[in-house]
Amino acid sequence: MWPLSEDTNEVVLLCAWFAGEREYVPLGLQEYNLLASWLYQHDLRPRDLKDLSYIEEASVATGLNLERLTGLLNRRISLGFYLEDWKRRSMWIISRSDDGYPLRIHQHLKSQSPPILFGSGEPSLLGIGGTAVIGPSMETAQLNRFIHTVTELCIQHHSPLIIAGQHPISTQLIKSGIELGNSFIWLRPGKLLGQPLDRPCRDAKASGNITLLSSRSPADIRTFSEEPEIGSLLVAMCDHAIYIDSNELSMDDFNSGEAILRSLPKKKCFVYRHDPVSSLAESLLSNGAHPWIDEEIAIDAGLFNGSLQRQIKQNEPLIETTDHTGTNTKSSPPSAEDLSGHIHDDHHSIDSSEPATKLSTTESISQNGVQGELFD
Amino acid sequence: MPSLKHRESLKQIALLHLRAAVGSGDADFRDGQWESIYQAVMGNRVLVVQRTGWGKTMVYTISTKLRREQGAGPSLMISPLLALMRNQEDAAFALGLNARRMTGDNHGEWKKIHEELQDDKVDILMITPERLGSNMFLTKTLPIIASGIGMLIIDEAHCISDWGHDFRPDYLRIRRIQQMIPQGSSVVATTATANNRVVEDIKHQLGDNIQVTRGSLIRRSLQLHNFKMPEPSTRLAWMAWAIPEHLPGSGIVYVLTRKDADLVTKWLQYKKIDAHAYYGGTEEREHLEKELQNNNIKVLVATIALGMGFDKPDLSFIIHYQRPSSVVHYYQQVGRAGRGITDAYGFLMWGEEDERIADYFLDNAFPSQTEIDLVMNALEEADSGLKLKEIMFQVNLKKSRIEKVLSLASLESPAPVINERGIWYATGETDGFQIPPERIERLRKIRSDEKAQMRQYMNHDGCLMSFLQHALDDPSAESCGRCRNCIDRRDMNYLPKAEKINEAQQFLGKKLNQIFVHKKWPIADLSDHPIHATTKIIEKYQASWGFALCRMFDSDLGHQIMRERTSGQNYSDGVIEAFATLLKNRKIMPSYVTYIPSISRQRQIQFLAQKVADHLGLSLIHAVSRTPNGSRQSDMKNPILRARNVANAFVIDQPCRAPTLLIDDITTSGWTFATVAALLRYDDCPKVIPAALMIHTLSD
Repeated sequence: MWPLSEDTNEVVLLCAWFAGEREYVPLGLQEYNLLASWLYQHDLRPRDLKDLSYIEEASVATGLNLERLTGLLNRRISLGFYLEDWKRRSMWIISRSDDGYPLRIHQHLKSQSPPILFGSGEPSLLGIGGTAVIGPSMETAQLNRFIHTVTELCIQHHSPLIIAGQHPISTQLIKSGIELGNSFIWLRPGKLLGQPLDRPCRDAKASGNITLLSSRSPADIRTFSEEPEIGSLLVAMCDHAIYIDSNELSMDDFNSGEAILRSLPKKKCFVYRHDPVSSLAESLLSNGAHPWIDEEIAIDAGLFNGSLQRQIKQNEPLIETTDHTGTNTKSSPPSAEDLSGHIHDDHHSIDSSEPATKLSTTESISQNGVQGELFD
Repeated sequence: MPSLKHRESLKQIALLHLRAAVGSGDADFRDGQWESIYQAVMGNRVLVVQRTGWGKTMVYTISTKLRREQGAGPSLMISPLLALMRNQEDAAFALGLNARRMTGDNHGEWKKIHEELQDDKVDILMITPERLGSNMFLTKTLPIIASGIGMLIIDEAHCISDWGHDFRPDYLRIRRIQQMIPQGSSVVATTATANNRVVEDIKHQLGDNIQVTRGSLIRRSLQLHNFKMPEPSTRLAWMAWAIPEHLPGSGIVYVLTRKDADLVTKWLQYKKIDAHAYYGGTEEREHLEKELQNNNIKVLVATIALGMGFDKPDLSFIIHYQRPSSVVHYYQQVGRAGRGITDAYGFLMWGEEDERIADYFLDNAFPSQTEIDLVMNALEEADSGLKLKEIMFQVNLKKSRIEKVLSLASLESPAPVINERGIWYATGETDGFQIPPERIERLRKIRSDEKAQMRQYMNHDGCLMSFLQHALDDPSAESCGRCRNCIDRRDMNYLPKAEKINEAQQFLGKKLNQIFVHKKWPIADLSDHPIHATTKIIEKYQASWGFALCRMFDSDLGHQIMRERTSGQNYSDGVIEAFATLLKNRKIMPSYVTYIPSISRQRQIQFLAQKVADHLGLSLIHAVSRTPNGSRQSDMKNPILRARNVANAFVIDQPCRAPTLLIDDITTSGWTFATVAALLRYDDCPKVIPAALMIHTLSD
């Protein structure tokens, strides 16, 4: 991942916050999509924006302010300082233009995929899927027991846990999971990605059992609650989700519950109910989520069906990929080549020959109402 | 590609700026100066290798001026030394540029500088390489200028190269940063001291397409002398004679250590010479630089902290009290003198301690793998992070060794350790961390070769200036016709008169050998005893200032004491008499003598104390005894462990209720004296005066 590709350099300049930008606000997702769409239509790539004439053309065509675009791209020297710091903190950066951009996120979020992902820890975990746990902020003895059960089940079924946030229950999940040897994808605010970890997480990171991920730059000082895309990422990364209902203050700062609701029934969701049932839990249940009764019933209902355990049983590779021509290839762990050729909105065409177990690209684009188009 | 016409008009504007800056209507660019400015303005990378005083500052100040006039953002300058920055502030001011620095000594101004940056009122922002790693810089300062740093200036660029004489680990970060800066960004790197190998390495680091400007290094105004004077007292006496009587104007005396800076300053002051000490950590550095600039000070006695970049055109002499670590260092330091005057002098003296100090720096340049592993393990085992003091508490290494490990490790990429707000954390990348042995070996060899070259220079009988030029691969090296060897004064006698040397010897005996009084314990709660109830040592428990006969390596006596101590035999009558005479002369008038009980040399020390008591006509009291706690103090490598080691190691058997002389043979950190003195005073001793045969120097 180091050095950054020329494309990623430009995408980071355009979209990443380097703390408190005042003069030129980095491009948001929809703005970047406008620009990416223009690049695609003109058979250009982000790196071509080094040429001022293309920036001028792009500005006219997209309506994005020219001064803002050049101002953002002029942050080159500063970028050097930040990249050096991030690399020293053993972080990595992938943009949508990179072949290594996680396929799961592309497939699920399509043009809503974050232009850049910032991460730390083992990147290959991003291709495995897992069990997303969305729940309340407060721990209780009962919840801790439930979490322990979920963690054990995930280990038995080789399903990494995917969690978000900083709440005590997340910490409990991680602590419990690390003790049992599970793997994690931990979605965190960008500004916490490079921060020191306590010993259990540090050890898990050293042994390749944890990946920290954010769509925000580590220098982004905007508040955690302004990072709603984490919810979508959480759902995109998982095979299935467990929603822990509660009247407590939710740890769901990122609308993960809403995101899983939107993904039903394609992603399986299990609701651990609380009395009285919250309106979101009710919506989930009425849209195809399963009530959690016990683990046996959950497994019978399809929990872990999409997980690694199933793949291993069937002697399948860890990751399903397709090559540039759309032919299935099997390999483990994922490589940049493996993950290429799909919906690289910045320069590739749509590959609609996804395996049946995966979300059909065409289907999902249709859901977004942009049949056959790359950008919405 | 800009037209020739555009280039010519740009040059005319630049020339106007140059003339305004130097205050001369007919000033013109030096060879290579305009070409470097032009490349920088056009967004290219430039390396300027020119002697000090050539006008490197003009390259980046005029480039900045032109870039700012074109609407670019401020330049960011990375410079290793404060002295340099202060000069550069003034140089920028002459061009109407607002240069501001954010350094450790001007914290109070940072808020205002941030405001000025926000209002685009800063043209050059100067920081030290160490600042690059600070969270404050990345989260508060850089974001303000993120959208438009117009130019990156790397001053003293030879520090980037580990082939260089002055490689600095913090420059590793600059190396990586500039590698991540895309082409098309203006980068200006400057140095006065780079040989071919270093230039090639800098080019490699900054990109092979960098434009290099290189010129002659000769300084024609300088008259160089070198001579051997083994004894410090002789050198002190020589300076006391030469500076007031034979060296007009003002100058700098370079020394190797802070301790020597203080010592030489005190001597010169004692001899009524207006001298001031200057080294890292001195509060009034900026004030002292200004005073020297304005010729209000005759001489600054400085460590290498006043090295690169200090610009005083009429500085008329540089004296080296000790031998610098390399010829390049020497060239750089002596090159401070004679920039704007026709006659200036460089005197290089070398003494018997030089080799030992050079070896010490060489031996301590890199931590061993064992030391690295000890520090890494402590951090790995910690649940969260550790403060430096906490690491010192756990790891039996000198503070400076721990700091060295942390500093080198934190500069790796990815880094096995990081520092957040003063706390060190393992990152999970510690496993197998090592500094490649071949790299250490290569760097040690470079340093060792530099040392050998310095010795060659000391004994060189040809032109001294030409030697320096050759050492820096200056193709235009030629005889200067001015140095001691060129004017054939190799038989010149530099030795001062005997009475002057005697005076300096007496001064050294008095000033060097005071035993420091600790006023604070290094950490809280060292023991349950009330003397440790607060981190501050309560005044009524403190020792008085004490006295030692000598320092370990400063004289023959030090070596003799060391030999007698190691033999295990009683100290000789000569040593004891000298010690007793010293104490008599101090007129300290104690009522009792007692001593620090020793684990391994109890008989030796008790004998020493008894003899001293006999000489002074006082009673020896066996006031203190050891508990089973505590190991040999000499096994403890840092002050925290030393303080902890002795915290529970002594009890008072017999209170001394009158002023008491407390004897030990050697003192290093002074924690044993501090602890036993506090215990004695807790038991009603009104005054405790520590006295030792010797102070062990070059320790933490």
